[in-house]
Order: sequence, then structure tokens, then C-alpha cells
Amino acid sequence: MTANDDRELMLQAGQGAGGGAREAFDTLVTRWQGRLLTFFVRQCGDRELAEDCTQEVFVRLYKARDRYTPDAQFSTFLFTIARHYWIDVARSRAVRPDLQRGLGSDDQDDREDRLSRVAAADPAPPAQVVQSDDLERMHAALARLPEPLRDVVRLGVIEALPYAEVSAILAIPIGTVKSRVHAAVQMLRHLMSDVHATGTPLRRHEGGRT
Amino acid sequence: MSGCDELRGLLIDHVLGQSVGEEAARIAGHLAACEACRGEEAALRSTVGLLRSGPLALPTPEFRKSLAQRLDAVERRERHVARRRGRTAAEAGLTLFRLRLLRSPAARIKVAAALLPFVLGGGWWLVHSTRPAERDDDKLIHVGPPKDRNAPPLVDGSGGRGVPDRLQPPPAPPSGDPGEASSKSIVDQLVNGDSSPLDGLPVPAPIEEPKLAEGGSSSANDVFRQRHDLELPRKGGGVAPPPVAPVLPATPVTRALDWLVRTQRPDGSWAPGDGEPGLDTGTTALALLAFVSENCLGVGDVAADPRERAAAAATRWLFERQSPSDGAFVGGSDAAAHVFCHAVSTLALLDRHLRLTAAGRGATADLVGEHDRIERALARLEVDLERLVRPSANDPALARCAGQNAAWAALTLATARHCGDAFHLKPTGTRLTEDVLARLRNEQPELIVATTHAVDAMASRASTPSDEAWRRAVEKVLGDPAGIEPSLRFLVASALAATRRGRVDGGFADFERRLEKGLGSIQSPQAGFFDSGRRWDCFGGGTVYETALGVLSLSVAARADDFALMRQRLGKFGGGHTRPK
Repeated sequence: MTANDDRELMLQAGQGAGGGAREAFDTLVTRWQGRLLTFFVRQCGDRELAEDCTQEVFVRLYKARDRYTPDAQFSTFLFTIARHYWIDVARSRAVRPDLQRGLGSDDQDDREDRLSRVAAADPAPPAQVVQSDDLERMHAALARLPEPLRDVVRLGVIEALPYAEVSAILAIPIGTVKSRVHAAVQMLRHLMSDVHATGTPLRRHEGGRT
Repeated sequence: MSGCDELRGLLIDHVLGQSVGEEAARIAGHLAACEACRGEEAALRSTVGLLRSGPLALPTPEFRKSLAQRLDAVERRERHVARRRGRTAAEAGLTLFRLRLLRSPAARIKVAAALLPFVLGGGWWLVHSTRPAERDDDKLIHVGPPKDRNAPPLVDGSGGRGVPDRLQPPPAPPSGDPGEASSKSIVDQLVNGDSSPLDGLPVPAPIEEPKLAEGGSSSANDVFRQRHDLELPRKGGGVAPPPVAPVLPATPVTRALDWLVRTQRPDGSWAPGDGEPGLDTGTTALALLAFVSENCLGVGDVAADPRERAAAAATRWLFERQSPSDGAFVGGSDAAAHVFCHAVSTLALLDRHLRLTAAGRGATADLVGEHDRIERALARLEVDLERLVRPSANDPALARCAGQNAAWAALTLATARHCGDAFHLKPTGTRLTEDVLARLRNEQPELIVATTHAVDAMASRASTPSDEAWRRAVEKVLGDPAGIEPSLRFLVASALAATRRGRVDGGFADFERRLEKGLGSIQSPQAGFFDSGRRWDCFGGGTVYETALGVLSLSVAARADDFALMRQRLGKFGGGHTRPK
């Protein structure tokens, strides 16, 4: 339930193989699999690839379990591995590490396909469905941020990690995290209004006329 | 204005919960006085909320299986490397032995004698450390049914085609101890005998006021009841007496609850089984009901007690899932799954609410708010119940698992109707429930007859006469308590518990022993979860589903006692205390 519990579970998992160690690790997987998978789905928009990445991160975490020390938060340890792995994947596949390649393009079908795949990850309650237009705009705006700002938004805002953890994961000073979060949110709000004015609704209107 | 400029730079930290201490206080003070900054803060919250919104992705059922296989491979590789390291060290030692020590025969004998115990000990360690991990029997995710170490070798009855484990017919029911009463005699006692729930007293024996037990009881159920009695909140001021921390041994129920605590997701929910993805709401509701049955209501010492914390988080999560428009708890992938999720969610929150109200806490602001939300959920449940027997052309999926859905809905409505007068329900609801159960009786006769008996017991009505379906239901549960569908087991056990003759009913005691023994065979000795390894026609099941219903099945007697006690208390002051004027 708490960060301390996660640390204890990870330490327990680091004490060997099988038995209680594996049990502890399975509990950690159960707790974090949804969040990690969502993290990767948001990165790449490809559900299958996201699941592969999530699995690989857990395998790497398990291999590294005896190197975990309790002075680091478990989430810091996990997201550091996840982020490094995603950088490797993005480089090797030569894809932009974000969901919004389709969203930012004019390819409406591709965009809808990606969104439907993200939405298919879990049936959403109706209240969330109502927000899908705003979500689209937000994803489009997020895609237009520079990579360093996008990183702090993903970790500090979306994943709600404390600044100190974001600082440790990205290896930048806390002051830089704060200034980037501030700049990113301001830029997102500008971009949102821009997308709102010229984005999806206009395209839909045009589609209706043709 | 300059103050605004300075503080606006800090507002995003405040919204993200990153500002602390003096800075947080300064921002809060400024916001209280400045309307413009409050507007800016609201806009920032909206942006952050939008960024964080969107569905939480859930892995496919294959994800955990494949991950488990990969982790097994990692462990095998680690063992292999460890063995190679061990061999290399041993070889290096032998070389040293040859080069330096064995220059004279006398020295060889002395050194060999000195090293013999170490060599033997090392060999024993090597053999034991390289055995496959015993944990293979005990994984969170079961690919097949649990292995029975005493089971005879598998006989392939398919003419050599190799039937996988999960397709084998269910194992024969346990034969039981020689001294134990036979299934038939217990069924006779329960269904037809002297202590028959049908011919006996329909009203449960009066329950004494809770007392602190002195301890010394060895029965698992007595231990559960001690926990109940100790923790059931007291009427009168709503302030419980100072808790006396009992030193209770771990029981099957507490171990299962602790497993649920460990596997709860950070947001307060539990992951559903692989048979019915997306059923988070129903799974979480059943898990919460298991905690509530043990009087972990999420209002105790949340900081110190992980079970209280789990119940509080699950309650919060469920209420967040309630639709503000029609009061429905949404979940699952079709209309049938929605009804199931809605019925069990309403039952879990209703049960918790009734217990708190019986403890005199109904007048608090939170409980009044919850009361209205539960009442709307109950009204919606009545509509759902009616739709089950008259599915429209738009909802063909409602016919799926209609019997099971009707059973949970009927149990929930009966709990609301017959435990005080806290909730306002349609006067025609009783007749509706009877009609629905009668119409669905042919689909799942044992389940429906068990539900009818449970509902009648709650209403203090003499139940319908004993019939073949009821006998079959009891026989099924007694014959294979571990292999039967968990909802049916729970409903049969609930009906028997509610109609037993007080706390010393011989037939029921035998039934409980069988139940405990059967469930013990599918409980993980280390982790504490229940898992028969089977999947069910309705909503698939899963480890959390089976664990929650395992706890509920073992707690039926305590639940029945609590229910009688609550009814006594709520009958006196009931809804007047919970309903805002």
C-alpha cells in the first residue's frame, strides 16, 4: 500500500529466488503492472509494444533485485529502469518516443485507431468517455512539447512522482525539475487553446462538408 | 499584484502537492484572499486533471503467465550460474589440495579426515539448493489446478491423446476422516433431520451482547467470532471502548485477508481474474465485502491497521465508480457484468453502512451522504432485477448469468429490506424478488433455491419446504466444498448459517468442519489466498474472487450473528438516525 511496503517487498524479493522472494515480487508486479503499462501505452500508443516493454522492465527489475538498496524509493528504481529501457527501444526502432505521432499528423484514421487502441486497454467509465475530445487535444499538445519538458510532465505531473524522485530519475537538479514543470504546464495551456481553436473540431467540420 | 505574480510561479507546485510547510501555508493564505489566483489555481487543476485522466491500462491474461515463465527462466539461469561458481571454487580447492598438501601419505589422511564433514555438508547443500523451488505449487497466477501431492499418478483416459490437467474431470470428493460424519448423514441432518433449517426455528437464536472473550478456544470459527466481538463497533455515543489487542493466531481467514491487503492496487481496487477482464468493480466489491464481514470497515485505526486501510481505500474507490446520474456502479464488458458489479458493490457498501449505523455512527455527515448514494444504488438494483427477466432487444447480454445476477441482487435487496428500516424501497419489491427467483429457477435451480432460503431466513419467514434442488445444493457443497462454484457455496452456507439452531447446531457444525477442511485444501500455505485453479461459467472467477468468497464462506456463521445483532439494534432506531429530515 505504501512506498515503505514496496521497499520492504523489493528487499524481500532481493533475498533469493522462489518462496517468499518470488511471492513478494509477484505482489509488486500486481501493484505496479497497470501503472507501468499505462506509462508505456502513453509513450508509444501501441498496446502490444507497451505490454512487451512492461514485461521486459519487470524481468530487468527481477534480475536487478539484489542491487536494490532501501535508500532509493521503489518507484524511482522502477521508473529509472523503465525510462532507460524506453530510450533503448525508441532508438533501436527509430520511432519517436511518444503516442502522438499520429495525433499530430493529418491522418485522422491513424489517430482514431491509436486512440481506440489506448481506450481498449480498459473499458472506461462513461464520465471519462465524455472527456475524450479534451484528452485528444491534450495528447496533441503534449506531443508538441520538447522532449525534456515532456519527460518532467510524464513523471512529475502524470505519474505524480515527487520532484526529488523526478530529479533522481532524470539526473537533473530539483530546481531544474521545478522550472521545467512550470514551463511545460504553461506551454501546454497555450498549445491546448491553439489546438482547441484550430484542431479537431475544424477538421471534423471539414469532414462533414466533403 | 506583485504578491500575485510571485505566488503564481508557485501555484503549479501547490496544485501538484509539492509545496510544503511555510510555503504551502503562504499559498493557502493568499488563495483564501485572492479570487483571481483562485481562478488560476482552478485552471491549473483542470489541466493537471486532464493530463492524469484517461483509462488505466490493464495487462492481458497472458501477460502474467508469460512473465511468470520468464521469471522462472531467470531463476533457473541464476541457479545454473551459482552451481558453476560452486564447481569452479571446488575445482580450485582441489588443485590447491594436490599441489600443496598431499605431499606425504600421513598428511593426506589427516587432511581428508578434517575435510570429510565439509565435503558431506557441501554435497547436501548442493543437492538441496538445486532442487526445483517448491514455490512452483504456490504461484499467484495458477496455470492449472493446484497440484495434490498425494494424488495418484495422472492416468490419461483419452486414449493417449494427452488431456491437459485443466481438462481432467474434477477429483473425487474427499472421503473424510473415518470418525467424521458422512456427507449423507450431514445432509440428512441439515435438510431433513432434527436440526433441519427448514423444519427448525426460522429465526436465528438471540445473540448476546458482545463480550470480550477470555481466549482458550481452539476452533477457527471461535477465533473469528472473538475478532468480531472485539471489533464490532458499539452502540451508544459511537465511541468504542479502548481496544484490547488480542493475540490471535493466524487463521485461514486472516491469512486470506492479509493476502488481499498485499495484492490491493495502489488506487484501492483489486485486479479481476483472467476470465472476465474489466471486472475490477465486482472483484473489488467482493474483496471489500470480505473485509466488512470481519468488521474491518475502514473507519478504525487506518494508519496502524493495514486491513482497515485496505477497506477504507476500497470503499473510496467504489464510491468513485458510482455514476452520479443513476447511482450505478459500472464495471465489466456487457450488461450482465454491469448488473453483477452493481449488485455486489451495493451489497458491500450497504453491509458496511448498516454495521456503522448499528454502532451509532449513522448520524455523521459522511454516513448521511453515503446513505443517499446507497439508496439510489438500491433503486437502480430493483430496476436491474426486473430487467433480468424481461431483457429487451437492446440488452440481449442480460440473459447471460441471469441466475447468478438475480441471486446477488436478491441477497442485496433482502439485506436492505430486512435489516431495520434504514432504506426506503418499493413496497412491491418483495413480490418482484420472488417472481424473478421463481422465473429463473429452471436455469440454475441449486443457486436459486439457496438464494430463496437465504432471503427467507433474512425475512424471518419459514422457507419453502425441502425439495430435491435444495438437497442437491447442500450435497454439492458438502461433497466438494473446494471445487464448487464459490457463489453457490457462499449462498448455501449463508442459508444454513442463518437458520441454524443457535451456535450449537450439530449438523451445521459438521458442515462447517467440512467447509474448513475443503477450503484448507485450496489455500496457499504460504501466501494465504484460495484458488481451486478452476474457472467458472459466470464471470470467470480468479484468485481474488475465490479468496474473497473463501473468506465469506468461512465467515457465514459470524455474518449471521452480526446480522441478527444489527437487526436488533436497527429495529429500534433504524433509519430515523440515518435519514436526513
